[in-house]
Amino acid sequence: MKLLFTSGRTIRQGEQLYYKDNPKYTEQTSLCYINPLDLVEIGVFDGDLVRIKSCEGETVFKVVETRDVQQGMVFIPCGPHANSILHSHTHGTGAPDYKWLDVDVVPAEEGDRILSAWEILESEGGLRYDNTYPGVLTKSPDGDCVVEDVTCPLCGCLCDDIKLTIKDNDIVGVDNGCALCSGKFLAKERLKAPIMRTENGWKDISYDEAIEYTADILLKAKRPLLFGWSGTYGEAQCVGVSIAEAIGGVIDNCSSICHGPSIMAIQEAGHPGCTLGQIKNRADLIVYWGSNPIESHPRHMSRYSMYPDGFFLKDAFRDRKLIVVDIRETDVAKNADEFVKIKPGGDYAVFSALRAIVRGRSDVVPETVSGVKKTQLIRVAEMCMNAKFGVFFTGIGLTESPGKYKNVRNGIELVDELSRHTKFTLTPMRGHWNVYGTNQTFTYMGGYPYAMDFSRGTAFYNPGETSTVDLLLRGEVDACIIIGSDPGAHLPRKCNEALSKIPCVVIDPFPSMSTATANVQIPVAICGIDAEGTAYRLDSIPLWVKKVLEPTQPNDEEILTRIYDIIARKKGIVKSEDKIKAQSAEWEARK
Amino acid sequence: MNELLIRNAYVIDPVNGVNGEIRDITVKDGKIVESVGSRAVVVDAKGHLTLPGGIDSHTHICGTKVNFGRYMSPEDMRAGRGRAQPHMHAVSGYSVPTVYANNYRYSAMGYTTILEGAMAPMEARHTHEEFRHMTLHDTMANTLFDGNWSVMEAIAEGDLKKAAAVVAWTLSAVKGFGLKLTNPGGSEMWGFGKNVSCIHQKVDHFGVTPAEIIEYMIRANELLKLPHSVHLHCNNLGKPGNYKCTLETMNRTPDLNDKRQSLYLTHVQFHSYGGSKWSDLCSKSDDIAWMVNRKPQVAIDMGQVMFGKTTTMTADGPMEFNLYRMYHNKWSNHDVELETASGIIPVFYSRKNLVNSIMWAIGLELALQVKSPWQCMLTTDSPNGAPFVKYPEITALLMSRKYRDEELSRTHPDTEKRTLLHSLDRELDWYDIAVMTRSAQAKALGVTGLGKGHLGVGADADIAIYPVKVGDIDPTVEYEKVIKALSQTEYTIKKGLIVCRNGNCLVEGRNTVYWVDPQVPDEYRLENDPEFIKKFERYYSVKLSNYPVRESYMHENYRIETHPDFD
Ligand code: SF4
Ligand SMILES: [Zn+2]
Repeated sequence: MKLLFTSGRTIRQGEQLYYKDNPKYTEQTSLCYINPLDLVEIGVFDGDLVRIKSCEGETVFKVVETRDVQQGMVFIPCGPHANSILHSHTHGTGAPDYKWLDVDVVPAEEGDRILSAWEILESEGGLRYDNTYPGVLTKSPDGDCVVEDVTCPLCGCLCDDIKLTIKDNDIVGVDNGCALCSGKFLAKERLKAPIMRTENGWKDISYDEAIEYTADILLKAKRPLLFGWSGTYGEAQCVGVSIAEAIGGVIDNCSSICHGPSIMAIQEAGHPGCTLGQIKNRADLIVYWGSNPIESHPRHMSRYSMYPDGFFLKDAFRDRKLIVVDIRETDVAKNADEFVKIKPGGDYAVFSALRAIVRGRSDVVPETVSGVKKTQLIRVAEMCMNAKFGVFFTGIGLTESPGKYKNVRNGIELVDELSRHTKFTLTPMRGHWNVYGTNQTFTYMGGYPYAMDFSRGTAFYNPGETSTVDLLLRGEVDACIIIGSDPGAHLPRKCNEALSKIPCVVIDPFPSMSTATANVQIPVAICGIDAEGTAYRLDSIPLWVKKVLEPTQPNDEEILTRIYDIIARKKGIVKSEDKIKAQSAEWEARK
Repeated sequence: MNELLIRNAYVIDPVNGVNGEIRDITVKDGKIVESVGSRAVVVDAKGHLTLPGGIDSHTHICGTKVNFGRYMSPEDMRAGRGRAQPHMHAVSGYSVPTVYANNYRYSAMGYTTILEGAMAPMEARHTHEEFRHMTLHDTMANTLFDGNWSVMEAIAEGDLKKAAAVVAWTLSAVKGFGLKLTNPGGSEMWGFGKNVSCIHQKVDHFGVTPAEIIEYMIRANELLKLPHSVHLHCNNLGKPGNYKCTLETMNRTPDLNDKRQSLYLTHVQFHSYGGSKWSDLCSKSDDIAWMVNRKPQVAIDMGQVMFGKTTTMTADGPMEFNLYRMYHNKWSNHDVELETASGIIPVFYSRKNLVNSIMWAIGLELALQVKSPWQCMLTTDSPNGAPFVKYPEITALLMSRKYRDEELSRTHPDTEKRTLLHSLDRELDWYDIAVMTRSAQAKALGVTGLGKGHLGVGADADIAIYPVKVGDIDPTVEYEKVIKALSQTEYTIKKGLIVCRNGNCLVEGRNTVYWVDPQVPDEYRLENDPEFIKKFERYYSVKLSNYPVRESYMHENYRIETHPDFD
């Protein structure tokens, strides 16, 4: 049966982010959610296996029956299974069609089975690595202690109220955090030493060798790519930009595959926004549009939008209204005052209809728009105009479906329209804890928030051309550094195939899906646990992410600085401290 | 032990009363000294114009708002791109340059100390992060208090000391330098999409007026003995008829400090408009200058507009939205909880447009009518009026009536009817310009004593040598030469290091962030106030313990400790 594929985060998949080599991760990412009526037509039941085929290939999934998914659609948690059948065309935006793919779903055949995540990566040319270190890689503090007000390095909420209980150099308790947060703080199974892929499998190498190797492939490459960055801190990102500049490479971050289109929209239309505290103190209308905070930002509603105390709201809980706009009836949609169920791909038209109504031209709006009744649209528009302070939280449901950045632009223009009547703001639900930080540091260092290409000697930016998925699809990249991200789990099949063929270094504390496509992986201390640095919350508030344990491994900034030093030496670039010394020496010499 | 001997310098050093003497300047370990040994490195200034390093007392170079201007404007990034040089990074950006671009371009113009005009306390860490890369400049940040809830609550209670305590705690916590008010009261009102009209309208809920906020903050500032005065962006920016609001604000200013002004009014060009709507807009620079001339307790900066493309960015959120409704290009807004607001839009100032032409004229009129250059500093409120790279052109306009007339003749034909620029004969000289670009700033910021803005013994060896012999050109006619000379120094020296030569930045320097740390009595320390702690934890979206920027976060920094008398 022909269905429309859409992928997205689930909390179960999120909990397993640091355990991707574990069968539980495979179990979560190989599920597919289908409406019971469609199941009847396909001829399968809850729990059965199906084959899902696309233009790119096919793979086996296990069926979950649910009415939350509209007829005609199949929802798959994001991960290697979904991406193994996803094509790599971005329509000039850099972001793949994670939310929009025509597929054929048929019952599985005799002998079909679900592939593990590793098997999928191996089918894309990778090699599994399952020799993680079960022990503790930090060295102190000994004894018991509790650290309060720790910042959680997981999602864009960047909650800074986490309480960690530490016992003998080991985090044993996480309070205040959500399930994703505990998943990360309690994660073990890190990589102990740098590893290198050889003909006979993986071997351990020294940090020196790994760093030399990395500098070497970057220096030799014609079109090197430095990708990731949202999982590391600002200080390390700045070194990354300097490396890219020195080698004339491309530096890109995860925005290019998630909220890059939001940024493109902002570059066209601007961004009427505010900090999250402004929202909690004032907003009486919260709209989540194409975003599912319960799964992706679990504490977003309790800390910043629906449930906290608000200075200007007497009875915060009652005074706030919630509107959810989505193609699926997510858990947050079930609790909404108004759930606007849109046909997939219909966001742009719904924004346009609302703009018309707000402008007083409801006469031009047809009886239904993208499956939404006009009466409901008028109700929603009135709720918006009658709010004292309203906010749109926009998700990747807008950026990864047809229309992409135009959807977000239309949303911004609706806010612009509403701002003539009342106070309204819009905030993209940035995903990774420091993905907004990558945009900040890239911008102040080089001028552009992502997809920054230094091959011309100056910074150049053109998403769709200089963005990771497009570069990999065109086969341009001839060496790649991956840091603070896991493209193995999140890029479409063709991209991973391309990465498997070129020299590729992963800088990451954990073996991840990307390990499979790497030639070398360099383990590092984790920001928020045994490393520290600056991160930007999804509303651009900069926070300090603390270190709670003493590391035995170097951190990202140290590794990158050593790589930069080698490159700078070979390229004849003088570092600032050396420059000052050189001038002093010159002065001494003249004496 | 670096020693430097600058020979044959044509020195103008207004703080020390030096006006065009040929001198030697001797430098040791980054400071100006009486003499150096015979083995000092010699720089031959060849009789060229030599000034203390330039100081910008109001510009926007680092922080959340500035970076958002870059982030939303790839077209602006492209307009200012430059390749990496042997010792310089690649740069991007014309009106909102990248940090390195700001760093190099200011240095090439002979500037060495820069004040970021508006830092939201909650986002201070971002400003300091960028400051780290401003390697050729000492920096400091004005800290925004215009919509600060705790300040407004203290004022509503009539408690000056409490208001001062809030300022003290915040400045120390965020490593800020000056007390900035941007459209006081207006940013809080903008939280619900409203604004205040001039200075007597009460802010909703808090029940205080902008006039009260300004007055309390001036008194609190002096109580805390801060080096700089209150730094005010008046209410009603950019509105026809706003000059009355500006005049009244100036007239109310008490004179509380004998070393400097008690109130610094920034980008006053934008606040000197007569008329009642855009169609009858006219210049009221004469009234404003008249007031400045009789009030030693105020100092202003120009906020000159220059024709061309730029980006406006201020903490004045409602003003930016109004401006957007006129230009309709793109609009960003960013309100900061419990503190302030901000907005950004790109603009194009056209000489064919009457309003823009009037704005252009008003800035120059202010500088020409304020009698003492110590009371009127040369700025564009960069990038709001124009990017700072336009300073040399503005200088040339102030020095040459001929140049002004030529430019005026190319503006909208009605400009003369609405302005008085054509009637002003004054032509500033090099001494005036030296005052308006460094010495007055040092005085206004209260950092002369810290060795800024002059070349006396003990001062920081921040020195700019421009490729021009003052006696050889007539600035009243050879304005092209003035522009060329001021656009690029022969040498920019920062703390005794030659950091820029003929536009090439030779090394990255040693930069310091200046911040203030007023010591208030224990009973006024906010961290001991349970009520403050409770409110903070309840209404901010970060934990109190994570709010302050720790000293360890900063690279080189200089803490200015003050000891207020609270009894
Ligand atoms: S909501 Fe996000 S930042 Fe907050 S605890 Fe959960 S994962 Fe961490
Ligand atoms: Zn300003």
